[in-house]
Amino acid sequence: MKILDSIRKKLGPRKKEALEKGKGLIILNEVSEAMQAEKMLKSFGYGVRGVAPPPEIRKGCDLAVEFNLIDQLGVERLLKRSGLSPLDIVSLDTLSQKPLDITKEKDFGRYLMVTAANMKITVDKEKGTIVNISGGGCPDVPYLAVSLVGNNITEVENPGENGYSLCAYMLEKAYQKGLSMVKSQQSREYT
Amino acid sequence: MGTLPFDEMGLKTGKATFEGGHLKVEDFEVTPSLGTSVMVASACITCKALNLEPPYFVTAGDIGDGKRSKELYNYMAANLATLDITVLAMHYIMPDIPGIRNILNSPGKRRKGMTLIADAGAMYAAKAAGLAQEIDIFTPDAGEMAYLADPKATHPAYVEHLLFKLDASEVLTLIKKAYESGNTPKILLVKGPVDYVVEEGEVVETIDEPSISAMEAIGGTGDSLTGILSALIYGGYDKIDACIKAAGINRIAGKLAQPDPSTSISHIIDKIPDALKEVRLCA
Repeated sequence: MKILDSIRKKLGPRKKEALEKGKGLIILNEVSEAMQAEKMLKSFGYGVRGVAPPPEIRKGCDLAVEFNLIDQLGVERLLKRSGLSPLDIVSLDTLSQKPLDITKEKDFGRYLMVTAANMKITVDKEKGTIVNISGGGCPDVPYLAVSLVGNNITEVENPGENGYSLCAYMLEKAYQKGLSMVKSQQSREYT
Repeated sequence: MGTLPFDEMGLKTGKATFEGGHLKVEDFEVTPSLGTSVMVASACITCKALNLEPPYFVTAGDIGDGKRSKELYNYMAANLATLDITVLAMHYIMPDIPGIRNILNSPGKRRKGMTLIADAGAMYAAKAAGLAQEIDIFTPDAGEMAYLADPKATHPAYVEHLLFKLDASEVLTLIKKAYESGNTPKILLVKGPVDYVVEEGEVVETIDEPSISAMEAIGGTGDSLTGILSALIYGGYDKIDACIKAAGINRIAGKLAQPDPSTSISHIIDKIPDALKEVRLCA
């Protein structure tokens, strides 16, 4: 653990006072790579988030990773170590659009439906079973639905692990909210 | 046209059939569940009930990396001018601006006799490309209406918070904004607790009966609607009339399945023939 902590300290972000000086964008080949980079950099304590790439390079289903430019060297080193090769790393004058980070919930009695942007996940509140996935338009949504529906939300693999698209990115947000609500429901029942 | 969630499946084209709960094209068969398979199965069921030729299905396996979506875009762009198409329903596919642009540039003189419907990824791509007005009908839900209403968004994930927060009852605000920004085709069939049929920004019909709230949670109910709509237009119904009828038939199929939020879409599409009988479109 000490070795890991020391690596994290070395590769982790700089002090807070430097954080407001400017933002940069990591442009990767695929949404899945951006999701992977975001997750990995967050695990090292970097303040990163998924955002829309600049309009001139958008293809229609894109995600870039926004980071603090002051951290560029550490970020680039970590990307390289993880085998991720960005198409470009650019600085931003203004903040980009960012994916929705809010969800809506609808209570059907026994079932709870969580909506994030265009994605919906419906869960049996008592059993924790995912009973339906709805919405989306990218090809990984039907693929992910097959592995999620019928299984327990506390046991399935996070859809972000196997998804590629922005629809999968939003499905992960709905899943996280559904998971936390099911867990809090279950813990209330136990106490 | 649309992808199926199978990694190893290459491009497949041909007449689709739906028998014994399985959708078949060429040597491939699948049980419909959320996505293009439900859309095409619903079109097959509707065509069969109305004594129409089954739909021609162009598909390829894609689990999200977008590789075979590109093949689909390329195939359709290369063949659209020669295939005998009266209705083209474009569905789950990785949104790709150059890909959809190529398709929409390709029909040439045949475009006049062709109805283009876009839902799911194809709708996202057409809007992101600024080409929504090249399509005849979009079939968005309330969340997707927020996307169409937001001129900056290139995917529903990037919709402004304020638009996403609007309640389903405020969908008329989104419709108005979307038409003002030019991000809609001439006709919208907006699905939700109330279905809206909109022509050039004006709501020409609302459908809210039968009201089955559980359908909102069931994956594939929008896909079945697009499939029914495509078949009705192919059967000769006027586009607006087909939208109104399709919305009603989809709701009746839902009612007949007596669903709750855990119901599978396959139970609902099985009821399409009975729903068609109930509205007296077939005996």
